[in-house]
Amino acid sequence: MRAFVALWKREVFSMLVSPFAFVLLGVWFLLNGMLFVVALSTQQVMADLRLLPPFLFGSGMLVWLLLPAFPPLLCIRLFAEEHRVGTLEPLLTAPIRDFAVVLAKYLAACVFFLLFWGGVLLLFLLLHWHGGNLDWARVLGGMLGAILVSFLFLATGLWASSWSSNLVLGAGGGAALNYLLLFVPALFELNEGPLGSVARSMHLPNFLDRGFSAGLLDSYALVYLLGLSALFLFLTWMRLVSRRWVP
Amino acid sequence: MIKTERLTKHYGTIHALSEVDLEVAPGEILGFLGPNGAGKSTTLRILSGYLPPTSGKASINGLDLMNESLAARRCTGYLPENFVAPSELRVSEYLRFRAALKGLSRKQVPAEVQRVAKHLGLEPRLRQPFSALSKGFRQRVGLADALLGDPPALLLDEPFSGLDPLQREEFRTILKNLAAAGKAILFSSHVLPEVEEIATRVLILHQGRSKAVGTLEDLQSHLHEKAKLCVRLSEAGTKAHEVLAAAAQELDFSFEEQNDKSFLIELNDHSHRSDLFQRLAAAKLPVIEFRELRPDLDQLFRSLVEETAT
Amino acid sequence: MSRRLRLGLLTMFAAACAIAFTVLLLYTFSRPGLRVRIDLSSTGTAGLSDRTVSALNQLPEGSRLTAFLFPEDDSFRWFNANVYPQAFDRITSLVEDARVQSGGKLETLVIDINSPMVAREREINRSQRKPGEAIVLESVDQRRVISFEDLFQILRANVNDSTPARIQRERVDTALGDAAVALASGSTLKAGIVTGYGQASATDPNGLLGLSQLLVRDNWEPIEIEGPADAVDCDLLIFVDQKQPFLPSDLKSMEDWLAADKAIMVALGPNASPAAAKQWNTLLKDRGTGFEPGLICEPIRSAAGMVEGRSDCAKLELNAERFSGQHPITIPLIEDNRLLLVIGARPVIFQSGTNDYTQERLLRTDPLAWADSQDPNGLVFSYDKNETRGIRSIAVATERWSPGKEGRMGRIVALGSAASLSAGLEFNRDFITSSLQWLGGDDRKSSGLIGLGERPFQPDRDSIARINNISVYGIPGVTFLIGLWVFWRRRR
Repeated sequence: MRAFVALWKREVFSMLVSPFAFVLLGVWFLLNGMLFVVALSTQQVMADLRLLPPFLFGSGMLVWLLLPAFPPLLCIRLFAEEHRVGTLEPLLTAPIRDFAVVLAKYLAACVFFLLFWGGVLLLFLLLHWHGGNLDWARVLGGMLGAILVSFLFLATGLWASSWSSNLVLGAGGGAALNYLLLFVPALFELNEGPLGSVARSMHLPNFLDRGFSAGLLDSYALVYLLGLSALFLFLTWMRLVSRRWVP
Repeated sequence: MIKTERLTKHYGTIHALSEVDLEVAPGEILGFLGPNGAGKSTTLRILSGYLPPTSGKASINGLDLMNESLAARRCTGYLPENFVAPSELRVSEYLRFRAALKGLSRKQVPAEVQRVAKHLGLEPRLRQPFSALSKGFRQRVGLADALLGDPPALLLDEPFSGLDPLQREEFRTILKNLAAAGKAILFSSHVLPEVEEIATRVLILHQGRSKAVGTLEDLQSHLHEKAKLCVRLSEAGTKAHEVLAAAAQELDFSFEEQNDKSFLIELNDHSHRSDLFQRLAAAKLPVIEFRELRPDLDQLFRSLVEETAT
Repeated sequence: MSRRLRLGLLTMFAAACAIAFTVLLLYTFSRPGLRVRIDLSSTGTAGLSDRTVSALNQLPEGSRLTAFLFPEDDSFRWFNANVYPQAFDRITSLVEDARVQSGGKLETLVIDINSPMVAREREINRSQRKPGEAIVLESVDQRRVISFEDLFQILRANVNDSTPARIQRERVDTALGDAAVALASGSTLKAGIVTGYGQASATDPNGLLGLSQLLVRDNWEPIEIEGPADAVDCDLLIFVDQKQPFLPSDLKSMEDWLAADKAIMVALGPNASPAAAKQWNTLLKDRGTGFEPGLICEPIRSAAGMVEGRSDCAKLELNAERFSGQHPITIPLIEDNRLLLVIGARPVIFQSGTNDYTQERLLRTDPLAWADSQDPNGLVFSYDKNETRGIRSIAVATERWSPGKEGRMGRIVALGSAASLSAGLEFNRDFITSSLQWLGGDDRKSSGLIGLGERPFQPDRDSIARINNISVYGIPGVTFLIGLWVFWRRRR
């Protein structure tokens, strides 16, 4: 446990002092700020602020474009970068279990990614301080959904990062996987029969748009997001374990 | 303490290690010698738990590295070749993190970091980022990392690389002190004089195979069955040449006259040394030097490598 | 088997097991019994009500809900109106909730303008969707359609002052619940629309087509019949503006119908045949209701005082004060603060009948109203000496004190306006719907209309500029500066 906490702390600390992480954070805030301003410039949102959370967290560009790309970028430093630089070897020869390594790194990334959402929350608070009458159930529900989706994308990013010391492949692979998770169900969503049914039950923007952003917590959406995150963490662990298992 | 049995590692069709046996006892320093690609780093990586062997066994402190990897790793301090620490961390931050990673409690960590930093002369550098350190100090940080938690076994991969002569001297002293404190140390090196100076025993590895293992003296005697002798007389004369020529056939040796007072003798059978000495004494030759010429580690290494090549 | 192969297979097997376990977990948690939805909103109206959930759970297996989110009425988009975004947001979230809460019995599909053309056409054809219909709920052999206007109470755009249309209230949850109840019950009540006595046709868009469609949406099966004699299987008879009195055979059937305590909705406007009105008065005498002659008028309140003598005096704007607070038909209208517009009504008799029946005045006029009688020159829309001012009844409901034959209640709604069921249906839809439900035996207490909880944001120009600057420059800029500071501090 001590080793796990030590590694988690070190990972969080490394992110907090890493220029790359701050650049990522700044770009995220910039793009989100721009999306926020675009949303506020529409008559519909100004006429009813309840439409803002679905716009940002549901079917908007944040989910379709930014969210799949940023978590893998954050994750490349967790395995791919360590592998490339050579710091992975001292870590993996330390007396710490492989799963603790995976979990500590993942939880550190999750905690750091909360900062990303903290900035988005600031935008809503800004609106609140300027007299915006927000439906907080929708705002916080939408944000919770988006946070859980980003945790899933961090898990896929971590898995992709564990496969290669090539940073481009690590980040690109993770982002590609995330876009697949978004777009493939969307492509088959309107199909009839089991295919359409399965696609609808995997459609992330639907969870966000019709559930979380409407102020509704759906147990299935929670299980889906957390279950899939756990699966990718397990696969990352398998990947790490296989380095020792498979000669 | 550190032990391998028939340790083998294949990378696809490449045989990096073939049935290597070694053992390092507490207080012993085993020098690991071999040309590039001989399998030194692979052996150390297997022993550190980073790589799995294809077959064979490896253990630290009696703990099997495949079955009790975590416990074995707790007993090991490992300095990898080209050691690197995260560039964003300061030396103290890195060592504190590594100490905690090795299971030291929050109270123990500062004292332990202070101890190894003092031991390795890192105190003035503790607040510097790792990226700002010279190669020598980076190696010290790596060694400090290995020493954290006071593990009984140390695996050091090329610990002297990149160090200046003064630093090497310091490092040698440190390793000797550690061995004196009962640590089992296995280190690999290209710098033969370093190995010669501090290793209790030497293992020579070539093309993944163990070519020789033992104390330096054992190796010298084992490898040089044909003893080379230097015989020097106090005065010149033809008698010595005649006595040697007469004994040469009987005792199966050849000799070479270097000047009229000294001879270089190459005995085919090492055990005939005393017989030869008795012949010279019986002929009342004025022998002032009868010395066996032993090869140094460099020569030994070369001869072994050449032998394998032929 | 080599160690390499063995361990490689072991890794792959473990990964495959994990994937299989995840699929199983997701499958298990997608099952109805294990699926829970929690409403985070303070009002508890973000999701479906318990009533609707309960109705959805009774749906037959394989039911299907298709939502068509097409912005078809351009006037709802004029002046940047927000009607469709708000409406579609509400529909999609509740449709998703319906899918989850239906216990796996409901397959849902949302078709909007971004859906692929092929899928859009396929669903429109399959569900026989017509313009204006927003939700189609289907089981194997039945379907219920909910129009967009049934779901939302919309204040239309005002072209004069460029005011955009806006949603006042919505009843998506209730409408879904009603449709689900109807679909689950599987039975449909039959309403006979009598058209053999000069009434408009039930298929005529200018006649009773609107009423017919309203009946369908409210779980009735409308049947156009010539006269009461044809109403063999009907549960309700509807008479709208009868131009001739009944023939003897139909009169007999009518007497039988009344004697059997079956339900009737009769709307006779000022233009109905006096002979027919007289016949009805005879038929309904025991019930304490009937129709008086004349056209109800009220003075118009204006800045200049009370105005009379204009045709607008016959347009009766009825607010909650004019509704009965005691009757299931009008209670929901009062609760929802609805307004009705009755154009051209005759007074309805409201008096005591036999002791077997109760009477309730559903809609009434202002105390200054009068029944304008025909002058030789036609209607003058002004009060004269021959007329009396006072409260007039516009609609009356009667029913038995206690259930009669076969448990029937003998419910009748008498309405003094025929236009409210034809051309003016749009202004009285809620009243008619509520009346039909009462006549059908469903004493619903609420129309289900709820406020949308709009949250408009109208900041001043400075606030907008400040929000924009902080969002785009402030927060990212501070982040970059903190990053630089940390970088500089760490390099020291």
